[in-house]
Formats: sequence, C-alpha cells, structure tokens
Amino acid sequence: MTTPPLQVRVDATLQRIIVGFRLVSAVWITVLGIIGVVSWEADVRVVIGALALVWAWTLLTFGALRAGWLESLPWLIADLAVAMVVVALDAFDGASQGSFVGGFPTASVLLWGYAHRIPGGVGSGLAVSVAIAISESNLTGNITNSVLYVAVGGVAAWAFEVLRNSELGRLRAEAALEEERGARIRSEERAEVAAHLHDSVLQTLALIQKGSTDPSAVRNLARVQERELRSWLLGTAKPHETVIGALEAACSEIEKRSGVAVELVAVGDRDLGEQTRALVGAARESVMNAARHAGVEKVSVYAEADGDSMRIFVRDRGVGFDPSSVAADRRGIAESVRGRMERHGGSVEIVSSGAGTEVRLLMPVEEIPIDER
Amino acid sequence: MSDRTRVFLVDDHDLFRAGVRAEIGDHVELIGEADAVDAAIELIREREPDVVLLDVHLPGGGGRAVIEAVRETHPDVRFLALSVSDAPQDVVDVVHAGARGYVTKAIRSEELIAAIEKVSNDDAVFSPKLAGFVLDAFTTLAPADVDDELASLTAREREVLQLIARGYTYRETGEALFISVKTVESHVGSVLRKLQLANRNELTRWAAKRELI
Repeated sequence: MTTPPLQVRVDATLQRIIVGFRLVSAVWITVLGIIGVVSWEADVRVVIGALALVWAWTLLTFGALRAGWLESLPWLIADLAVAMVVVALDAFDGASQGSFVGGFPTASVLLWGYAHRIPGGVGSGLAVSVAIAISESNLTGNITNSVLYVAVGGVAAWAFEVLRNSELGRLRAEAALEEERGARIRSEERAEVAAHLHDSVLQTLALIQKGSTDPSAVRNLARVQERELRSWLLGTAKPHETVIGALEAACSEIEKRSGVAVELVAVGDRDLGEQTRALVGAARESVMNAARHAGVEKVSVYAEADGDSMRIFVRDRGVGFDPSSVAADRRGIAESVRGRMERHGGSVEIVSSGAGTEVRLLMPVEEIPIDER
Repeated sequence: MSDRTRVFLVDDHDLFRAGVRAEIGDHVELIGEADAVDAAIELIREREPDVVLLDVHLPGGGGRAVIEAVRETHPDVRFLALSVSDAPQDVVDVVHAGARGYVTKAIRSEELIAAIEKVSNDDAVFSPKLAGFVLDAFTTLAPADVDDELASLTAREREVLQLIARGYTYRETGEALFISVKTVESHVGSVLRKLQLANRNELTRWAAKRELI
C-alpha cells in the first residue's frame, strides 16, 4: 500500500487567518487615517491615496488566497513592497506628529513568516523597520516599532512551524496506523486461507498419496475434496435451512463416509419444516442403504418440489432386494424410512429388482416455494 | 478406421486434454485440439469433425463463441459441451448456442464415449443434471396460461425428463414409460429444440436466480 502525500490542513487555516488579519488592519488604518485628517491635520490627499492603495491590495489579497498565490515569491515581494510604500507615505502626510499606519504591515510580516519560516518573518520585519526609519524621525518610537515587527515575524513563524509539525506528526501516525491495520487484515486473511487449505486440500493430497494404489479410493477423495473446495471458493454452499440444502449436506456426508458417489439433482426447493425434515431423514437413510448394500459406485438422488408435495427418488443399479422380506440388518428401511415417512403423513414406494432399487418418497408440504417469496 | 467418429477437442487445460486423449483415443478418431476460441474456430472449419468436445470456459469468449462462429459456416458440426461446473449459466450458454448435449468433466470414459456417439447421431445428450435444469427452467419460465407450445413442455416430455433426472438411461426411461428408445430420443431432441428456441434473456434470468437459491 502506498501512502498518499499528507495534506496539512492547518496551512489553509493559517492562510485564512493572515488574510483576515489583513482585513482587520485595513479597517484599522482607515480609522487612523480619518482621525489623522481630523485631529492632526494630515494631508487629505496623501491619506486618501494610502487608503485607496490599502483597500485595493486587500481586495487583491482575497483573490490571491482563492487562487493560491499567497505563498509565491512574486506575491510575497509585492505584498511587502505595498506595506513599505504605505509606511513611507506616512512621512508625506504633512503632519508633524502621529501616524496612521497602525498595524498594516503586520499581515505582510505574518505572511512572510508563514511562507519562509523564521528567516522570512524576521527579514520582512527588518524591511518594515527600514521603511519606518525612513518615514519617521522619532528614534524611540522607531526602535519600539522595529523590535515589535521583527519579534512578531519571528514568533509567528515559529508558532506556525510548531502547529504544522504537530499536525504532520498526527497525520503520519494515523497513516501508519491505517497501514498497520490493513496489513493485519491481509495477514489474517492469508492465515485463514492457509489454515483452510491445510485442513482440506493438503490432508486430501496426503491421503491420495498414501492410497494411490486404490483407484476408487483416490477418485472418491478427489471428488469429495473438489465438492468441498468448490463450495468454499464460490461461497455457494446452500444454507441447511432448505430441503435441498439439507439433502445436499446429507449426500456429501455419505459420499465422504462410504466412498460411493451420490449425484443429486433438484428441481425447486422448500424451507425446512417438520415434515420435510422427516423427508430428508428418510432420503438420507435410503441413500445410506444403497451405498452400503447395493454394491454400486454411484447413487442417483432426484428431488422435486411440486405444488403441495415434495418427492425424492433414490436410485441405484445394484443387486436389489426383496422389500417384503428384509433381513434383520436392514431394519433401517422399516424404521427409519417407512416409519418416519408415515408418521408425518408421507408415503414410501420401493421398487427393487436384479437391475437395481428405487426408493420413492412422497411428502405433502405446506411450506411456500422458495422461488415465490 | 474411417468409420470411427471424428472428434475435435477444445480445452485450455493441457492436462485435461491429455486425460481425454488417453480415455477415448482408442474408441474415436481424434483429429485435432485447440486451447483458445480463435484457434478452435479456424481448425474446426478446416478439419470439419463430426463432434467437437468443447470446454465451456475458454479464453477469448467461451465455448459459446466457438459454437456460434462454427455454426455460421458449418451447421453440420455437432458440439458436446464439457464443464467442470454444473453452474446453470454455463448450461444455458452453450446449450442455447446450439450444443447437442452437456456433460461434466467428472463423467466416466465409457459414458463420455457413449455421449459422443449419441451426439454424432444427432441425438441429444441429457445428463440427469441437465434434465433437472431444464425441468426447473421450464417450470419457472412458463406461466400456466401461456399455451404457446414452444414455451412449455408436454406432459410426456416432462415424464421423460423426470426419469432422466432420476438417473434412468434412455433405455430404462423407455421401459418405464412403455415407449421405444427412439421415442425417448425424439422427446429429448424436441426438448433441446425448445430450449434453444427459448428466450435467452429469460433463461439467463432463470439461471441467475437458480444460482442464488
């Protein structure tokens, strides 16, 4: 898994804060300009010129934020130049005292600190200090202002850096956690596949190698394994809650135990109820009988859901027997098949001859067909 | 030599082809093999076999594509579909495209040879599974009020299919119904024709539904 580049969200927030600061300082300089004109007779033309520049640039700043130019070097230089021009204009307002600049250059210093870290913040603070030194003659005021701008630039740049690093660290930790989780899930899946193959396919292959002299045993093992693997791969194992699902499970179990192939064909299905459970039980017993006593390699099972009844036919081409005179060891027919069916309202017909045996089971059912739900 | 059935084998598994060669090579005349759709179409047209043993799953379009292309130019070539799966969709695909029969790869050699002979005589080969599918499809597809004779099975056809689904051979089916093997074969052939004429979209819908149960 490749990690996508980490997007530091705090950057977008910081840019918005800086532009917000620019707006606040524009309002601030406007208020100071009006006060300057009124109370210390600042030159109206200079003040209006400075304010026009300030507001035009502030609007452009919003555009630059949207266009993503704020961090570009041309923009940074232009921004700082505008701030210095505004500071310098203060010298030409014709008033001997007072200053309308206020904190206007602050946004520029913050932006430099944001884009070029501590050197950017401190450097732009110094540049603003130079402009102040040119425009004002009040030495202590100038030193205070210079120190303030340089300090704001440096400290802000440092704070931005701290914020950025902490978010980056958090994002990295999250990505690492995600990756670790993905790797764990994959390795769990692999372990599950390995465990399944070990329990099933590898065991069967080992058995086949051992019994490779007995072709019918090998064939049976391969068939059972194929059926199992197929249903596991495709996830098509029928739920046992239907008649066919239960019948299929019974057939596959008998295949496994007896080595006789059981071919199941089904038309329609029903939910498993009390009667159909008895039907499946009887069918199971019939298949077991055929597998045990008929001496065949294959037993055919056909199940059919038809209106209000369900029929199952179990057929083999084996030696056959006389159903009216079953030996003691074949009591299964009487008890497990006939008894079970008749107790639940079903019926049994057994046809047997030298050409094989067919057990025909019929059970009335009330369950609605699965197709029509 | 010349009266033996000429068989062409299409399967993308080398091992399986080798196995089939060994199983049936003494009883039929194997005249060629292919492992992909395009090669199969070209070689079958060139060699004109009696019967093509065709894997349902093939790179380049599946068995269906081979049947459709070959039947355009050589309608006399007959196809017997082979598949590892009993998936209803596979059966629908190849039988609807024109295969005369469908058997699974687990079939025994003697049954496969008998099936090839049947197909080469233009009879249909219905395994119990295929009979079950057809019964299921026609039960689900045909509404009771439709008396279009193509859309539904006759009572006798249904009886024949039920016996085949129960594991009866054609001969045993005939004995059980007191009809001749020839009659059984003609019923099965007419069922195959109905299946091939049935609406493919409906069959596909049936197959998809059948897969879910």
